[in-house]
Amino acid sequence: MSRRAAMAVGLLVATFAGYRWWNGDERQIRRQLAAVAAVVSHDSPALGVAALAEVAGLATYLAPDVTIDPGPPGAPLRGAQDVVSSAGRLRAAVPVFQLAFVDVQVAPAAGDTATVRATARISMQGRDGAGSTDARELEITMRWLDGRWVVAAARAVPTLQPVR
Amino acid sequence: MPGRAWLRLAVVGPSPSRTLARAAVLLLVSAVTFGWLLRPVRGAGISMRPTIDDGALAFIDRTAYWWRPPARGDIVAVQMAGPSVVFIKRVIGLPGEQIAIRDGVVEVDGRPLVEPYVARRRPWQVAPFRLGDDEYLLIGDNRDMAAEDHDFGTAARDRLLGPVRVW
Repeated sequence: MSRRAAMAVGLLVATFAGYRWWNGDERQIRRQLAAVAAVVSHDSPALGVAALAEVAGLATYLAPDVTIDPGPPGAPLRGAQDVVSSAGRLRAAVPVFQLAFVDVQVAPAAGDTATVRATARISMQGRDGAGSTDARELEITMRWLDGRWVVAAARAVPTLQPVR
Repeated sequence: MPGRAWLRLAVVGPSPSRTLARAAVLLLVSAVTFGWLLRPVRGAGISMRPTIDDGALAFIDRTAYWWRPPARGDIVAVQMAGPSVVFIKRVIGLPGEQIAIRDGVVEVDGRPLVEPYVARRRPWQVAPFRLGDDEYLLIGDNRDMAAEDHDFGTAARDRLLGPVRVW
């Protein structure tokens, strides 16, 4: 094989590997979770049409039958509409809310689902200006639906086992 | 000294290769020290007040528990899903001990625990329970909040990353 042909094959292999990496399940899932965090986060109490449309866009990242269990004191949410409504209420009630998923670990996908472990880091500021921070370990189930990964379930996993 | 020779001398020294080697060693030592052995963390939240304030800088000593088990009174970092975010709590109960909390006072094997680091306390109540062979009871220093609002509970030994040094 000539040197030029070897270089062409190498370039093709590298391009294919790069494409596979860029479109790999793990990377897609990380992108979806980052998008969810971006939609839910806000740094102003805006409640205009644009803000409502942004919150409504959250549904595109969720399975229709999604379940979210944030752990105490939050109540479980069932269904994408319930989750979107809650996000809307959150935006109205909390002027500043920042959510980030860190330490995201994606388990190899089995069939059309994948399991993700992550820590949700939350910081918020109330109407009185008082800030607070929280962190929760999460177990998230992602489902491949209509050509993309969506959140099918998420539940908070207690870091410390309760004793009360 | 002519031209910028003095600047070159100040930045890379008389022997550039030796300076480069020193910089590499310094970088490696810093990366190992602060990336693993003595990991810096910043306090967030109120559960460890008044010992650790919001925004305080602290370091997790990852080597301490190589030589000894966690001890009562240690401020420890608790592993969450990964290395970026950790819980910081104080070790209150050790494996095998019987614990209860009556009117905010922790009792270990029936005796009240002296906790000088607790400034004020609310009357928390926890019925007596015994810790397992690998379980530690962890509570924050801020007991001046409702028990329902304070994350406390037990964790296995392998969750405790190391004692936290606060400066």
